[in-house]
Amino acid sequence: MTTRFILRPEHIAPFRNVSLRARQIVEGMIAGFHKSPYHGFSAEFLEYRAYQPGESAGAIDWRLYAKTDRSYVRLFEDETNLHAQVMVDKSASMGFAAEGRESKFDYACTLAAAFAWILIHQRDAVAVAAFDETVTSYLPPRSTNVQLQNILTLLNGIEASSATRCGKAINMLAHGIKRAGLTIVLSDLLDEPESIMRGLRHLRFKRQDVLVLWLLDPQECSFSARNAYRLQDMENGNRVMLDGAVAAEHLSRGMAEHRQVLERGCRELRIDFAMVMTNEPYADTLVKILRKRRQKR
Amino acid sequence: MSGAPFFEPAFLWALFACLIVVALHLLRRTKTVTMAFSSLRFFQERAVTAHHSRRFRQLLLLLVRLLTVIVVVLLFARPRCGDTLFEKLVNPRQELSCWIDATPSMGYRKQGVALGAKATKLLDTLMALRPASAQNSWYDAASGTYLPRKAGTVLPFQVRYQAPAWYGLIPGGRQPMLLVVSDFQESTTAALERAWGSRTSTEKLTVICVPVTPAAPRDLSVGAVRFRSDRKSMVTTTLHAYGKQPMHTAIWATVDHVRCGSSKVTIAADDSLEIHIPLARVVNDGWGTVMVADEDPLQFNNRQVFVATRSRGVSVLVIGDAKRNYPIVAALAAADSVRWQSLVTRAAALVTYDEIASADLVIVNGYQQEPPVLRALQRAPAGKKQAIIIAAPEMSERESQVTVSGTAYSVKLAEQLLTAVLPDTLSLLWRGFPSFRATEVAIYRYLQGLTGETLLRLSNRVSLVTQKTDTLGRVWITVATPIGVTASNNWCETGFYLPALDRLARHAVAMLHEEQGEWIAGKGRANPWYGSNHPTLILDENSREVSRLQQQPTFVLENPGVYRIVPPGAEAYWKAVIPDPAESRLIYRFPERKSTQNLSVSIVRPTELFAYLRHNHSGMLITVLTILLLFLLAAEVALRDKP
Repeated sequence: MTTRFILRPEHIAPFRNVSLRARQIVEGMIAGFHKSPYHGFSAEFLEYRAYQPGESAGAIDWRLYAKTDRSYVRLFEDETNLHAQVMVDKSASMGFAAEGRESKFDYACTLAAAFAWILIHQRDAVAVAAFDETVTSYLPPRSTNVQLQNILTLLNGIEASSATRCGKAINMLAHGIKRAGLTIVLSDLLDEPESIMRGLRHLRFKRQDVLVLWLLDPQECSFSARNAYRLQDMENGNRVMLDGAVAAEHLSRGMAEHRQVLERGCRELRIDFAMVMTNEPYADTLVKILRKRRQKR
Repeated sequence: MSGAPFFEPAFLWALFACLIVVALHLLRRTKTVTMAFSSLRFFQERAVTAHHSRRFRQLLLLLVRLLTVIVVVLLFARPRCGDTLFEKLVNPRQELSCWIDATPSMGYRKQGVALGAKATKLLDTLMALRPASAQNSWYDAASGTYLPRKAGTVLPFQVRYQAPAWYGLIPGGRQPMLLVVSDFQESTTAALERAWGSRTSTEKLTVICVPVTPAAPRDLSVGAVRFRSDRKSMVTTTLHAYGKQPMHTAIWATVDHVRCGSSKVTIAADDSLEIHIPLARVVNDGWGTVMVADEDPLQFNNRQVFVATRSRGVSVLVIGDAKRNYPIVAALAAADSVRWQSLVTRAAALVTYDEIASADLVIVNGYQQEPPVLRALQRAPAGKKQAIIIAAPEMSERESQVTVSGTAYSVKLAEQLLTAVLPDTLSLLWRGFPSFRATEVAIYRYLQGLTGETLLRLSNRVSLVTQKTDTLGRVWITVATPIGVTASNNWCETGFYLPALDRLARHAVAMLHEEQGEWIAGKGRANPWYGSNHPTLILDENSREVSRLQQQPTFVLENPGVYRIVPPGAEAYWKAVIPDPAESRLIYRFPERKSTQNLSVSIVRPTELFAYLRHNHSGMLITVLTILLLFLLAAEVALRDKP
């Protein structure tokens, strides 16, 4: 199987020093990263990590320091105090791609991989779920580098297909969440707003810090008034003939209403909501998102 | 002008603009982009419907634009429903020739406006309503041709006493159209019909007759005036009344601009009345007028001029048996002793040539056989022009044939009561005669087969009195029965005898060139001084020269009035010129409508003409097209896509 996307170095280079933090208090005990309500260590040693200035000196493994004259921190299983879920919409509509551009799905997968890299890089556990009508693929949360590879393999192996029921899928995923964490939803949100909000509300109930990224292709927002369009729905195959002017008007109005409902709902639920155009460079998108989150902390 | 259904067919080439419209439509039509779309959830049903309706609107817009081009082209090309009269009137390529009847009867005033002035204004308005590029021409009487005219440049109406050259009234050219505005008096209509009936051109002539005939005309007209003066001067005229009501008026006479006599008159509707007006003083020379006081609509015939000169007496020689001819002499003497001077009776065997030569009027009657003198009269050249009345000889019952003036005639016995009947009551001879049919006259024997112009006839339509003029200018009046005491009839015993004989005698004398009847304004006359070495001057009443006659075979005096004739080497005398009496006869007849290969005659009322031109000037079809164009423009605006 060919790899449709590759998380290239240029994708992640800008984020080598960026961290994705959860705003709320989560379980875990990595000092300076995520405060944990619990004290003590997990029994299972995981690995060593270089000491970062600003961390508590008590976490330094002094024995190793004596041996190596370098400061390291021991990581245990439970010290990955952020369990993040990255939900990628793999419905057929995500397969929309303007000429010369990659599809929304590919864009979402790259973003998902980038988020996964950031999280894993900061030793957070990342789970990845792909959904259309339901959750079709799920990778449980891990924080190892192997997990990143597994994520890439998973994302590379799925195709955009089937109809969108993101609200139901988010609900399903929310059911399986046991602990607080971060959930990133990468979707074009082409479902009933109420259904989507139900899912998001469920996530918030499960103490998830939710980041919703509404992916759109610029082609989806613009129609030329001089042309007529013969459109085929990528999910159900329905066809319509529309005038460009009428199509633009209806689309603009529909999307505005949809956005309004989602934004209002997310605002009420204190969910980060961002509209992402697939013609924007990944780096710009991520920087914008992360910067916005940092400002809100 | 072709028979194409368009006035300007050249504009039809502009229909190729439809191709431009179609090309623009194809170039500007929306391109259809086919693409897979993420979701159609935002596109409601009405967006789909809007597309279908837009496509339909675009097709409809194309159709509207094509129709707009077609309608605009048709409006410029000006379609016509057919080759109707009104279509021709609004055709800018159709030249219109206009003729207004300028005869005196068109001076008839209706509500103070003469018919001719009304006709002028009517035609002027008509020209203004025709297309601006259309050519119009009016008949110019002076040149006898049609001259171009534009609306607003026509001259005021003026009565002309001279009738137009009727043959010149017919315009030439291709598919000529003549518009005639007239009151269509009988004489005018007859002349018009003769003129356009005698055309030989194959081009179709369209004649539109627009009558301006007065609805209930009324008129009083003064007839020719006769002046007589012996111990008293008197003028006699005939007053004619046209109309439905009796008229009461006064009539007076003037001499040298001084009123000399008058008479109050009551005349019945449509009647004629002979009026004698004694003059207050004896008039020996000069001229005068007789006029009627009534302000009737037609004024030209309310006044007549007369020449007040003592008429020279006519010498009359009656040849035949004196006893049988006594009634002749007595009748003439009683009718007008002044006029019929020197009434001489001679037996045929005793008459001398000098007596014959010196008589103005020779009456031959009361003979058994044709006298030699009659044959001599026929053969011998006359020293002067004479009038000869020859009556039939006394016929016995046994005779079946007689010879008169060298011609044999059969003798007829009346099988039924035969009486004398006038051929008409309008000619100069019989105008104003008391009765049309002399019922008291009984003709028992008469000659059949008289030739010449019938002056009097029998009730069985056989000519009783005929007239001929020989090559020497002598007037021969032949009577088919004796006119004196005779067993062939009872004529001299009736009241018909005296006036009829007087009229016949006057008529015979009037045929001679010294009097030659009335001079009528506008009518050509033979020039009696033709060929003379010196010209004859004709002066008006103010002694201004009107005409100089010498080598002209004919001449015309255009206006009525009194003229001074100055012949070379002779005494000057006054001559009255009267308007054509026919113009006073308010008898109207419209031309006969017809449609043949080369002639179309229509009668169109003025109201009908203007109703069409004002309201249907562009034709119903043009109106419909204009409304359609407005509708199409509104449709274009409605169907166009909103920005």
